[in-house]
Amino acid sequence: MNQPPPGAHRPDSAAPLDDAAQQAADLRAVLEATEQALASSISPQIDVESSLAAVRRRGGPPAAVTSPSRTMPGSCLPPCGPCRHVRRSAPSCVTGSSACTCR
Amino acid sequence: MEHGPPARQRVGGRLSPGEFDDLFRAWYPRMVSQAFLLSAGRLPLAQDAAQEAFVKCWRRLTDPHAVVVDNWPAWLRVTVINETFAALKKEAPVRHVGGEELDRADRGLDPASHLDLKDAYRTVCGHIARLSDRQREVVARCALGGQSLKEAAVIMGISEGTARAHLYRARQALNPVWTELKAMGVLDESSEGGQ
Repeated sequence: MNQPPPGAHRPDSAAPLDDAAQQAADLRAVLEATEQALASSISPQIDVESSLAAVRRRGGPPAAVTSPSRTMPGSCLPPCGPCRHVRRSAPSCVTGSSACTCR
Repeated sequence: MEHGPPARQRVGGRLSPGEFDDLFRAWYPRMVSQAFLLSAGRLPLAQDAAQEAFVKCWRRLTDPHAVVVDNWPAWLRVTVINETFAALKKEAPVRHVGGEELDRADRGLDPASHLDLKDAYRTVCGHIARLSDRQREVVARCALGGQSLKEAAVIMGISEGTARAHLYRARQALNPVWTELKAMGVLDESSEGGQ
């Protein structure tokens, strides 16, 4: 009798051909409905307001006046999303842009 | 049974503190429920994961250099998924015996036994709890987090084929509840359940 080699029972050895996107959509419908049902049942057991207070306490105070300046080039640029370099200067304010201009 | 905002509601951009509070009140119970489902019924862990996600959300909102998020509920979903599975991994290392991942959840666990739920939902919770952690994580990332199989696989450090197999098996495991949920009108006829 042929013995399967070690590791032959890895999950991907039996990878099905079904459409993963359809499976994800099917599961999403079930999970979201269940999550919604759970939420109404769990809500009485959780104190939303004290949880909110705890989150605000842990998160720190609201930022002071931190509106980025539109007159100081580069002063309001977020770190580059893909490479995380902090941009040191830029010709104009692009607050909120996640496009990489580091290169 | 309606509770909270629509599952796919969009709230994005920079929020004022008051708008953050509104977001929290609307979505915190949903995020706890999501984490409860994904952690196989660990309510304290679920609350910690949801709170951690909102702390990160708050810090992003108060950081003028943070990249603006255009859909906070979707961002929170993914962050809660990340926090939930990070917490589960800290809780106990995944055990493998003979190449098979052992389930961290107790077999036969009914995580929603103390909750007032319809039988169909209770059954879904039971089936989800009995999935392996890896299966649950793939389901969470692909079905709830909106990530592709490839993205989920990269994050989890597994092959795309393995992620596909986990998703397939999770889908099969939920077959028993399909008819019941369709009868309740939760799923429409276009759903492929039970096929």
